[in-house]
Amino acid sequence: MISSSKIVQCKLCPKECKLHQGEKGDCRVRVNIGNKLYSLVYGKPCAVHIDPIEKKPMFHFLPGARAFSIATAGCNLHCKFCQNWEISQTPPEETNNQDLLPSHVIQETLLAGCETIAFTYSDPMIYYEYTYDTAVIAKEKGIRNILVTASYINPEPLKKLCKVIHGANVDIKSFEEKFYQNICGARLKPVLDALLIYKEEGVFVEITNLLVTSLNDDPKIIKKMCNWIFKEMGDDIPLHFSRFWPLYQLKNLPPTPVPSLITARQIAIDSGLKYVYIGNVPGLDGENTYCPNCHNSIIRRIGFDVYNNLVLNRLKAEGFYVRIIRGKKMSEIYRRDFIKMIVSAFLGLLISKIWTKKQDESSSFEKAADIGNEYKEAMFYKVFR
Amino acid sequence: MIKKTGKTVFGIYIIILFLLITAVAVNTFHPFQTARINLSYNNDLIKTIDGIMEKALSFKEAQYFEVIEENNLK
Repeated sequence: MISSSKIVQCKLCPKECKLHQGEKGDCRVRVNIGNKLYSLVYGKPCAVHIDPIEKKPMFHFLPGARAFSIATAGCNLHCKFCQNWEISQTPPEETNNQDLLPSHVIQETLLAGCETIAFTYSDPMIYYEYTYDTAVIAKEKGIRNILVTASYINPEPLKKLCKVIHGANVDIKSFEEKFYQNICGARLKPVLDALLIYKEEGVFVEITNLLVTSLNDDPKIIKKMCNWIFKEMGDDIPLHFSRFWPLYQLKNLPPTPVPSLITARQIAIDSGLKYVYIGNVPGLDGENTYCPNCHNSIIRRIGFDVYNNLVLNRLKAEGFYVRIIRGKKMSEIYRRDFIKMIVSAFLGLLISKIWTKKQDESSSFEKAADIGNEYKEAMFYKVFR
Repeated sequence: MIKKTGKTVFGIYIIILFLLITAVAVNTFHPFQTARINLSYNNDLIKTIDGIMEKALSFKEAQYFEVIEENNLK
């Protein structure tokens, strides 16, 4: 006998989980209650930090800016090498969550004087409603929104989100379908489709590829990925090769050897990509931005610190053209705080000056009074002598 | 004597002012301070569902889902 019952199917990401009453999705943060889907992490971030934007990594988007970074628990991918697994592979009831509604996020961002809000650490797509609502208010206030994401999401919600997003760093885990399925629990094609949507919608994109030792550092696969990026996304898309560090379920593997990263960078440059970087290895040449025409260094970096930022200083190098989103180094709030500080210091000095002047005056009065008394005494003696 | 005391007081005042300005400057301009979050927002403990959730979580109606019929063999 066949009977039918109602269930909920989530349409946010390509996994499209079918959920019975009380069941959670693969991301651990969306639950079916009474045949309605609910997000458990709206306004409940488990990580709130202020980071340099270079940490995302975003090298061509407001270089030197600060990002108010938030994340909730959960993720729709289950990468065995996850560098944030403590929060991404944990259900929200097991993390320490804060109460931070979208309006509060904006308040804190403005208070901290950050130019951008980064939805990062886990994956902003699984806390979609929170990301969207926060980004809408942020955009109204002139704050730029950044996604740091694997972009495993369906086209319709992504297109809607792109209207309020300014920049995105998208992770391509590997250019091999097998790697995506076995190591990450996802598929490659939706990620590539998402990248094309970002391009269509005019979102500034940087791409990151974490090279995991012996799993996705095959030069042939890297070459294939670079060719696709060059052909579909353009030659001026910044590409970051990040060093893997043994964590979570791949503690048995060694960190990515630096020569593998250098080889990957060279392959990308040979494929025609102009801006290729090496991440998680501070001090390497692959952290700097060079002009593709004159090969002069335009931005020098060590780790997340920015030095000699010619873009910010608006200096012109010979044949200078780099696609970089420019912005003010100091936000309005940041500058207002500075002015407040200067004014208060000036007032303090002024008050202290007036006070000392008064002190001097009162002491001179006392002196005058002393002289006057002496004079009176002298006159007294003169008269009555 | 009075002049000397006045100078000392002024000196102490300037030192305090300097320390105050330094504290404000460090607090304001230190680049990577951890966000100071106001934790006084309401944090109502929501009832548990099937014993899964013991901690306060939000229940915001999600976007992008469909209610579908599932056929079961009995």
